[in-house]
Parts: sequence; structure tokens; C-alpha cells
Amino acid sequence: MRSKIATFAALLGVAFLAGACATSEQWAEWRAHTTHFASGDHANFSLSNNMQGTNPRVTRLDVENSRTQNWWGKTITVEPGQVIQN
Amino acid sequence: MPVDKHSTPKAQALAQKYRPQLLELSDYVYHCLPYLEIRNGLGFKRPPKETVDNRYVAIWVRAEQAPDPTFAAMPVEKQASAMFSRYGVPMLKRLAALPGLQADPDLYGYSVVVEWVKPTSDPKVPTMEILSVFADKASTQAFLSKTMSAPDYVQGTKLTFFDGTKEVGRLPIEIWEDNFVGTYKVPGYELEKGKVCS
Repeated sequence: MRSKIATFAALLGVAFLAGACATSEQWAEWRAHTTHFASGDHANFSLSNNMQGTNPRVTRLDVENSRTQNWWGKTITVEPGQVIQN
Repeated sequence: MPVDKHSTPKAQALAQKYRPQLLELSDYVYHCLPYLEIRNGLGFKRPPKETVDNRYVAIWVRAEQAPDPTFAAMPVEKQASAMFSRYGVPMLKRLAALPGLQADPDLYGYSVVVEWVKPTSDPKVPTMEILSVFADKASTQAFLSKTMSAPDYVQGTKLTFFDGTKEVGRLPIEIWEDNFVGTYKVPGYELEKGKVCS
């Protein structure tokens, strides 16, 4: 499960710069370079890729399906009503 | 969020009136920002426990991102600042740009809730971190038009951070420019035919 979650997140490519700790220099760099992302492990993601996997194509439905299949069944969180009131 | 799920006549009227605009925003997030997921409805809400019926047009998004040691090493207020700058501000801009809303006297303000997986939490049962922000119309417009500084804007918001099941309260949030949402493209992502992202 862990790898699936990580893979999905990586595919979406929204990541922060890798590093051992966040020094002020790294922090400044992170702020300045907002388009550094994980490369993504497309091979483990069920996509409509071409046969070689070199030209991955992701549709919104692929994302939705993966989210449905891989998302956690349970999370530790507050009730929505504690955050916002309808 | 369906009209009848809003708890007061004022909220229901707003939801009915602006349904097309909210559906359009929902469609934009769904197709153009696939790394965000709208949670718990998009509609006209108010802060918890507030008895006065001041309505905020509100969006709650879950941001999915790859685990990263640098992010995990940041103090929690920096993490929250990063997430709000990256995802919260663009959502505020979208809400504030919804046609007709700004001038509507029944709308009190704007609300954005951003949630993400707490770094280092148990992947089997992840802990969510949530930052909720409520702000009035005038100050939000001033902030977005850069006539109010970010610190002054933050100071005037109702801002609450949640760590798992615990309400932490207010954090010293910073806001800075982040063009991620406007520039990032998911590798290989094919936009559905007929959809336009702008």
C-alpha cells in the first residue's frame, strides 16, 4: 500500500526538493524554484502507455481510477464539522 | 455541495444563485489540477460554531504530493505556509474571480481549506494536516490586488490548523509568491477533449 501511495503521488509529480534538512539556504531555493518535482515512476502506474512505456499518457479518468484504488481507506483526521460549518 | 445541504436559507439561496459558477470552478479543479481533490463540498459555509449567518464561499482541497525529506524537516508553520502559498492562494484567486460574487451583499467572505498527508505519518493510516482560512471580502480583494500586505492579511483571517484529530489553533503563516499551479503540468497528462485550462 505504501508503495502505491508513493507512486501515485510521484506520478502526479508534486514534490519538494530532496535534502537532509531544511536550512535557510535550501528554504530560499525551494521558494525560488517552484517547479522542481519528482520524476515519477510511471511503470508502476496503470496507464494507457504505449508498449515501451516511453510515452506515458494520463487521462483524468486514470487519475480518478488510481485514486479510488490506491487511496487510504481510513485517515486520522478531524470531522469536517470541526473545520467548517455547512 | 447540493443546495439542500446548506443549513440556512441564506446559504441555500447563494448556492442556488451561484451554482453555475461553482460547477465551473469544480470542473476546472477536476480537469486542470488533477493533483487536487475537492473534499467536503464546494459551497457557502461558515466557521465552525459561529452562530451568526455570515457566509463564505468555500473550497476544501486535498493536495497530493510525493513524500520529501526537506518538506518533512521544515517546522510545521513553514509546511503550512508552503501549502497555503502553493494551493490556497490560487484557490482564493479563483473564488474571488467568480462572476457576481464579490458584489453580492449576502456573501461575507472567502474560505479555503487545504489538507495534506502529515510527513512521516503511518502510511497504513495516514494522518492528515489541515489548514483552514476564513477571510472577509474586502481584505481578500485588497490582498489579491496587492494593496494589503500578506502579513496584514493573515493577521485578519480566522486561521486554524489541525494535526490529525487535534485542533492546534493558529499558526504564524507566511504567504509568498508561488506559481506552481499556474505552471506545473503533470507529465503525460492529456486534457479531456473540449476542456480548456486558463
